[in-house]
Amino acid sequence: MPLAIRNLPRGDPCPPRERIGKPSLGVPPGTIHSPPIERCLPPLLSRTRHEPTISLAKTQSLAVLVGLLMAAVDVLEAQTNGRPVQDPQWAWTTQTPTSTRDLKRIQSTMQARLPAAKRATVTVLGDGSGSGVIVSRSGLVLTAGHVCGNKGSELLVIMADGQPVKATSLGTLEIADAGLVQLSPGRYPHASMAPSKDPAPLGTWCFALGHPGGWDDARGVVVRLGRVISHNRYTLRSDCKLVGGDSGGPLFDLQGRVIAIHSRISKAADQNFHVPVQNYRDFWPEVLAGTMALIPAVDTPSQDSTPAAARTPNAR
Amino acid sequence: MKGSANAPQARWLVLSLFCFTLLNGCVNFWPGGSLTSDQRVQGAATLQAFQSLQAPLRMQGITVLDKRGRQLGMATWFGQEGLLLAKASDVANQGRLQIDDARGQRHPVTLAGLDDLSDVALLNVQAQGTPPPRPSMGTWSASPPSEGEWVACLEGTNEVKVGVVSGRARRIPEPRPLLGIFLKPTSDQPGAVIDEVVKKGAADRAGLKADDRIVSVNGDPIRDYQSLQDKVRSLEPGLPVTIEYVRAEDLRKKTFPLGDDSWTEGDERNRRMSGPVSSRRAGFEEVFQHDSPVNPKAIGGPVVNLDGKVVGMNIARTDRVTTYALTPRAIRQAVWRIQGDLSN
Repeated sequence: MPLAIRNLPRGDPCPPRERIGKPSLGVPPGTIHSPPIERCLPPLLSRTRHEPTISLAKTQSLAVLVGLLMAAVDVLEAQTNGRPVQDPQWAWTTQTPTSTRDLKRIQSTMQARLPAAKRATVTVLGDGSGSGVIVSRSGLVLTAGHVCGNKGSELLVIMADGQPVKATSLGTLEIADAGLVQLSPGRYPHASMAPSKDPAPLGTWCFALGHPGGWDDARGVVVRLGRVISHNRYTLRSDCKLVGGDSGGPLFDLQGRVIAIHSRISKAADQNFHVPVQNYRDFWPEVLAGTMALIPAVDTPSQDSTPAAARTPNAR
Repeated sequence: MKGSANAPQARWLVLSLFCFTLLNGCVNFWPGGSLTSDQRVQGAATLQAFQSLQAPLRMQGITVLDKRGRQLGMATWFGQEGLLLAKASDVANQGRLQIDDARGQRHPVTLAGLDDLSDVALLNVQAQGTPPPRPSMGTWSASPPSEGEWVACLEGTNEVKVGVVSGRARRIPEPRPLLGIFLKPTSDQPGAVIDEVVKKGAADRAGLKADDRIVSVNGDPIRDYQSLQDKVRSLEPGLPVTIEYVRAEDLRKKTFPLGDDSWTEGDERNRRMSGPVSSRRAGFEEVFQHDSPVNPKAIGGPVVNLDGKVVGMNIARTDRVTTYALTPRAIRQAVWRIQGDLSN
């Protein structure tokens, strides 16, 4: 169509490409730099790094208590989350390849995971266009917070085969930029999430899926290969190349498990930001209850980082 | 401090802090720091693994330069006769051309033919002294690489860039003409009334506004939105279009270049985040896409897979995540069309 003309009925269930690919500003860059935290953190998460600065003369006993309490908190946390246990069989997936053979092993392992991973990857259409990944048979979708919008937002999700499905936003965890979406009742292809006991260590080879620039029928889901270049509880960075429209799409490890969700891009093409899946697990109850859990962002995002979503210019 | 009286408590304090630090250290599994850049995909350590590919790839490295020696792109050897191919829109209309071969020797070249369907140019080398080395035959793959396959290409004669095939092989249609406006479905008077102007679109740049009523395009009268749509569809993107419109009873006229949809409307942010891209990014018979970050001034070179087979020729850098490469089939077709033209 040479001109985009509004001759389509409003609420057209399957929008033409002009609307899908509609680009956008996304969340204003300030969203991540949110004001200080008001709400108390769940105790298991407050792994305080600073040493207590209390006067020895007056409060030794208090200090003893604090110290023991913090230690206890950490022990409890260790029991909850466990230490990372990486299967030795997969240790090679964190190493730098040294030969064509190593490269071929990365290639063939990823290629074996691709078909199933792609089937679980979807386009999420709200105000703009983003991506997402189905993680349960009943159609629970992980996406970025700035893609799915507030709890109750009506969304349209396009499956990997082009089938449109109605969906509803379950809410967002704004500071971690995590979002949950529920597809209308049905059975869906889905991917598994990396277990909390085995988060992707530094150097893990990973592949990003998504719909850069929005849904494209002829192109389909786009894959990019890279490595985990930093990882803490709230942010994972990789050198998988991303652009607007990829937001909310999954980052897989070579075992075919979702390790993180694309969130923002930085000016440097080899460092992009993702939300580790553990955030979804930890705050599932809060998100579903519709209360925003406020977590301090450990990594202050750099000035040039931009949400990697495609959104309409006038959205939010 | 009161000395001995507090000593046991102080010891407790030290002990508890020690416990905390120790336990905290045990459960602290988040790796600190970040992966050094040499370990990343384009890093020196990772590229070492591509060692066996680098020498044969460099042997094929040809850069195309203008007469002042500025790099316009790269070129690819193709076929039995050793044809030299480049990206047409980057090397045509640039005056006298020359190439630097893999040994750094410069040779003048002439443009022997162009194929608009896939944006391919055929170059003829006027060798001075030793002709540029040609790769041995049979290094071309018969089919496009599969999705997820590693590929490597050159950026200039020395720099190797690697990536994976990121999307399925397909045709990229010609860019469609676009004014960048939304229209109201009906109008009381003859013409098409603008409902909304897309920011930074062709019409926006020319200064058209909502409620302007377009009454003619290139001198042809416009009755309603349908006739405007039909008229614009028949025009060529990039060429000047003259629009007559009525704003507040005033008849006005503007001439401006018609836009296209190779960037989706208002896709300004993606464009900004993508850095330099090729000027022609659409209209190719068959390409596969890969995620190697290739400078648009280094488009036109060969793409090889891990077996050292040439699987394609870079034809466009389109955005931050995408480089298009023509498939062997598309190159063959383009060469046939050019040679057909030449023999006629």
